[in-house]
Amino acid sequence: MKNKIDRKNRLDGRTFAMFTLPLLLIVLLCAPLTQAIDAQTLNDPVLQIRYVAIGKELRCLVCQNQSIYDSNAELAQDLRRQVREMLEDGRADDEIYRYMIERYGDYVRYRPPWRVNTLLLQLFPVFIALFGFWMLWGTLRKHRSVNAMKAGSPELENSESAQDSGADDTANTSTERR
Amino acid sequence: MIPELGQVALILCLMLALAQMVFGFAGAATNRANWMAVVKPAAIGQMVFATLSFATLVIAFLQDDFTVSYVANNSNTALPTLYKVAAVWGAHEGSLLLWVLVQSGWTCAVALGSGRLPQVFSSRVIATLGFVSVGFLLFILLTSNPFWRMMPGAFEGQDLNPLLQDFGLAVHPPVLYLGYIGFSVAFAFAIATMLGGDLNTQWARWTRPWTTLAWLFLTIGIALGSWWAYYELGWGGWWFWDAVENASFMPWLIGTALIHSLAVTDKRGLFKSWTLLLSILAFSLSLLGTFLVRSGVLVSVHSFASDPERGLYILIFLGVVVCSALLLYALRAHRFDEQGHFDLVSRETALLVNNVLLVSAAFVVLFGTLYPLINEGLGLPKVSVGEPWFNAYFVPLALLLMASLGIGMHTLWRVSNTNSLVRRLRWLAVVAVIAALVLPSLFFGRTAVMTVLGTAAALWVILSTASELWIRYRTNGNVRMPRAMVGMLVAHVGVALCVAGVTYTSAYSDQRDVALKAGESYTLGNYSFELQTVKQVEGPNYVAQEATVGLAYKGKSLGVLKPQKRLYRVQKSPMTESDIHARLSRDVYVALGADLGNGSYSLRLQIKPMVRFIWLGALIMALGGFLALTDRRYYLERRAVEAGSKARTA
Repeated sequence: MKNKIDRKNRLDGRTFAMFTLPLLLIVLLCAPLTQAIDAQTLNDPVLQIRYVAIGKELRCLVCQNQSIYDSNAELAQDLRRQVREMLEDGRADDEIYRYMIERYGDYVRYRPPWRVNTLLLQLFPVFIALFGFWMLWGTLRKHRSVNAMKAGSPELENSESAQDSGADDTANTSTERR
Repeated sequence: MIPELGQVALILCLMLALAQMVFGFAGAATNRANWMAVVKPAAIGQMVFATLSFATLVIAFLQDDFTVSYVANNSNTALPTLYKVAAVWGAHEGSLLLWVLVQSGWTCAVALGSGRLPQVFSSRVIATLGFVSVGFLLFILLTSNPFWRMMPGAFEGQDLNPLLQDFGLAVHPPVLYLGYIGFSVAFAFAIATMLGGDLNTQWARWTRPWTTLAWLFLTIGIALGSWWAYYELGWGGWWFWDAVENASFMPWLIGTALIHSLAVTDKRGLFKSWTLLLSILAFSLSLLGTFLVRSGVLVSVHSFASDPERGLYILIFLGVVVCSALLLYALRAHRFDEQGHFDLVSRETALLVNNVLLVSAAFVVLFGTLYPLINEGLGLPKVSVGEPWFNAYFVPLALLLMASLGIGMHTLWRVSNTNSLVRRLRWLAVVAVIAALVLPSLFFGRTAVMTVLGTAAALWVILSTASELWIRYRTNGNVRMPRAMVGMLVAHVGVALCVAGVTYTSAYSDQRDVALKAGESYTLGNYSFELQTVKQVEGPNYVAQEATVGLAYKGKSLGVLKPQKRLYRVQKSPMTESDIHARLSRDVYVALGADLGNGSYSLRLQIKPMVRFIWLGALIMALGGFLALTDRRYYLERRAVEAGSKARTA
């Protein structure tokens, strides 16, 4: 499924112009095949850890789903430089994120914000889990039995094929093969 | 000439798939044995021609036939032979041909393996599979023909995408497809069951080994993909929550839920309609994954280009498959409603909890994957949904799953004695929690909430498995048990190992990007890295800079690592080939970056504790699946089934 480049389009001028060209531009801009190895480290180890964390949470906007930390695109290098400078300036993480979001929009951050328009995104997982457990509760009530206590015979039942152990044992091994 | 043969074979494939579909459904509906007799030979024929067609494309690649535009776009005379074969499925058209091949393989296996099933039932199963084949064959023939010629032919091929020139990728798609498409078998069984409306639960038993087999392949496929991304993409991440990865993960989650609910349906005759729904869902998500990847709606690290016409086709096909299946479900599911009883504390409940958590997790992943697309489609401001979001919602579900797993393994069908369950498990829980509080700081000198939770979860499951064996030994004097049970325990240990790997790699990885000149060294933790030399090396279709990095642990030499930075001649794309010093306990990972001038080079150095556990865990899960599907009860029952269904029809 992964990583298919379809270069058949190059044969057709119109398709090429419409789809491949912009894509090619992205690829060229981003050079996604090399990862960034940024030898610029911050001297303070605590700052360095924060630098990496922030870099991984900011999206390289011209790339295909890469963080600025992982990307070698010029934009990513530029953003990394800015993050470094702000960190050395003593700015807080939040300030840096806010600065980036002001300039590039919510899209730049991999952690979606809590806003009216993202409320659905943030609450959906909670809803789905609650809905699941509500369904579970309904099912349990439906199947609950008062005298089930008598039914089980623990030692036998604990085996995965307990119900069929009789069948298994009586079956002749020679009939195993169909 | 040879590619044309492939084309003809493909058309014959389509005809046979059509025959399989039409005669299968119509024969079953009108109960004509001679019509139904068509499906099996048709399925075998389809397999033969699909193989033939695929073989011709392989030959075209091996012969460097650059008049075939797909070959010209994805191969090169200098490409090593192994990658010429792998290049067959290296891009869109060929990967669909692989899909068709694998689909026909599964169909053929079902046709041959279902000799003992009632004819009406097996015809419907194979007809459904034929329907899916028809969809994909038409897709290839109408929009994505790999045999398309171009005149005049190219003088030289454009080479395979360098990212794909790798062993991991050579084997990853076929295995993944075996998994994806394998779920079409469970899907077909569900459709046949609903069409037949037979109230017994034999189908659940017939489906189980097939589903487990598909799940096994998908597990290995995902693990291979993760491993490949880890060493080949070059930045040492093993999971990105990238849409393409999610596309394979969602069917896996549903497939895992399906395996468990099939167990309940098979053993206890409960949750029939739910199991049917999961069967539909697992395959639908496989198709959705194909749509996401193949249509080009995603622009991600993993899939670069496609075109909208193809996207539309898959979307329509997806719509037809999913809607007709769900319609059938809506019409028939109520018939499968049943009244069985079980207590609040029972294995049924445990497996229900498992299902609720797995399906919730799958929908969370689905929603997170689709949300940016929907948002964009509605013209709302773009939002990125990345790792922080997925982790925030997925991890709690996963931890709950682990917690319930440890309990679930000790529950009994129908009813469990709560007191004995508590007595059995309480000390294990205490041990797991205490160990989780102590161990991380003991080994790594620091700890965090997530580390404690992850360790506790992994230990809890392992201890719970061990105690199951211990109790068995104490009561029976041996640990003999059915294969299915062994498989279950093994797979759960695999899950625990995987969780442990994820926890420790995430918490204790150490990473540094440094600039070094030849002769200089850098110390990271207990490891020191010395850049010895950087030299030019020549590969078959690339040139590379190769660094020699001496690695030492506490002053003791561990040998050298040779990361490369390659430049592929044809595609002109630079590629990072990392080098890894791998041990079970940790990986030391070195990647070579840019030449910074004045003789210094940038290097990325990483230490990743227990990262191997992630893939090892996945392989052990797959092993568990394999053991489970060799349980002899699946192969004994067929006679009884045959007798039973004869008795019913008589």
